[in-house]
Amino acid sequence: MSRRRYRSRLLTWIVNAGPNDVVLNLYLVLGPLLIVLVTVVGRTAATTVIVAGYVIGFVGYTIYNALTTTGQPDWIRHP
Amino acid sequence: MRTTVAPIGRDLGWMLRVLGGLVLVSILVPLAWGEYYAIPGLVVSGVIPVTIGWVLSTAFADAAPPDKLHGMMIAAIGWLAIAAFGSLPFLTTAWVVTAAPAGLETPPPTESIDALASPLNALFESMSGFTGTGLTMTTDESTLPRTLQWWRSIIEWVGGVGVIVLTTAILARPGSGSLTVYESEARSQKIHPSIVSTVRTIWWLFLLFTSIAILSLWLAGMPPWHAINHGMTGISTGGFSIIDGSIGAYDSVVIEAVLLPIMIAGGIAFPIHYLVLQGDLRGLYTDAQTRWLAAVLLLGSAALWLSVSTVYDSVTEALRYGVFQFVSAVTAAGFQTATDPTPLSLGGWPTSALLMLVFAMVVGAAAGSTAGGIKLIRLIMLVKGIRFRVSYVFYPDSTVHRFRIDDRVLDEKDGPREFGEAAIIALLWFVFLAVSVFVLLATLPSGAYSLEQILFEIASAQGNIGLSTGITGPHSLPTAGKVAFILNMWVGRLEIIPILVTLRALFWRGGIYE
Repeated sequence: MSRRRYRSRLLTWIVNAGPNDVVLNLYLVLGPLLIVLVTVVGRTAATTVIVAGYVIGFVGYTIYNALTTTGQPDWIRHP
Repeated sequence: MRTTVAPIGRDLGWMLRVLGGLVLVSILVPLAWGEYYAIPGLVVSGVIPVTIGWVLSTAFADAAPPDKLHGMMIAAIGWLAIAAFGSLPFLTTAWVVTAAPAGLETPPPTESIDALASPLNALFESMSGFTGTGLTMTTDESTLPRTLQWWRSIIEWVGGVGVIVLTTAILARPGSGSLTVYESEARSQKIHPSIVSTVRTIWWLFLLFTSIAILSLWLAGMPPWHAINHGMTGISTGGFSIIDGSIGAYDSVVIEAVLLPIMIAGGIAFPIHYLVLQGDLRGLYTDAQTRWLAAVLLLGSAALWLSVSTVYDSVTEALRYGVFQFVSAVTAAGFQTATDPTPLSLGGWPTSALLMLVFAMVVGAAAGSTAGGIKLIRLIMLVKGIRFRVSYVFYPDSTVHRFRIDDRVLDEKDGPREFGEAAIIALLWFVFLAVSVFVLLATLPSGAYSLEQILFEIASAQGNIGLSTGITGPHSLPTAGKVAFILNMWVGRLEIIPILVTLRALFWRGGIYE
């Protein structure tokens, strides 16, 4: 399997497996990158602001999403 | 005979290959931390399951898709095998450190490393990790090599979602076979009609929440390595820590406050998370399990706060420790703040408080989450089922009875069936609990621990929680108790039935599927 093919499969998984939302897909990709950033750079004002923005942004976006509620798919089964 | 062995052998083979891959990928950790002495042990620990797994999956490559019996046997045998082979990194690293061979710069052996050099202790640690329990055979986690700290965290993280869920996501095998095995791993909820899509979405959600948990803990003040490990074991509600004294050792209200939503997120079913991320908050209040979880958390935390307020210096201190411990118990995280460095450890809590935590550990959180216990859906089923049976006699015979759970309306056939299933699992849960109580009463030093402490410890093991009153330890827990706890954790993770089915198939029919 070529590297290109592998990248394409990873990207396909990110896009297809999530809740079909570009912002959340971006959050999924950015998370590990930020973990590497804080591990390598450490605790600075810049990394703190970036990570705080990431976490607060996620909470804010989830609330924003809730304000534009979508319907509940009826194929979700409960035990 | 082969029709039974082949599907089990093939799927077991794939599980071992995935486990071996996980071990081999973990070699990056000793490389990053300069713990080169751990690399040979990890290579051996990875190559052994990969080789056995490759032989099994190749030999039985043409096996038929697993049916219900196969699914349960794969789950039961697979989890035992995963725990056994998952103990190899503990054993090999501990052996290398204690043997200190020439040419490898090994650190001085510690009490924790010495403990993990015992195969039984290593198996205990591995089973505790994969089942997301968090009880440990180490005495001071901070003295462990980073490699083993990582291995403890990664096995809890993978085990939280499920080894079979991971294997299914990687294999992407379409058809009913994957669904059968998936359901045998104590999971029944689906996010998509396809099981492969469901497990991939579960992993998508889990990865996102893990990143957020790690970064939130780092923001709260944890060093990066601590945040990574506690983020992984927090969102998977596993509870392993990398410092002695668990979360209580940080003595930080901010860290505890950040961990609360992380643990609660771990206790909510993945389909609900999926709905919420899609912007549908209705999932939070229309789903019975999530509603009950909120009620249990609020009422239980308040009750525990009141119960422990007599033994703490101030009401706010009691609130801090009471709420955290109750959330930790219900969600099966097992993080402990009431531990030795703090004013009062769990062993010093009043009996009423310990019994409240036992209740929380037995009930657990939502089915379809990473939590343990008998699960809220069964508690709901039992409560509603009993009410249904009592109200039944007040109506004429001609009445059509309906049994409502969430948006599902169960008729007179399905209602009693589901009620019966919940009752059987709850009964068996208490039977296994009682057996272990007898084992511990017979083997622990007389008078060393009270009955409520013993009950607490076993409920913690079988509910895959990880809270401890001090009984669990390499020296304090006798060998029989360790074996009993390993079985408790295994039984608790798979919700009993698959293990009984496997034992019946192995010992009664000799494995021959009729």
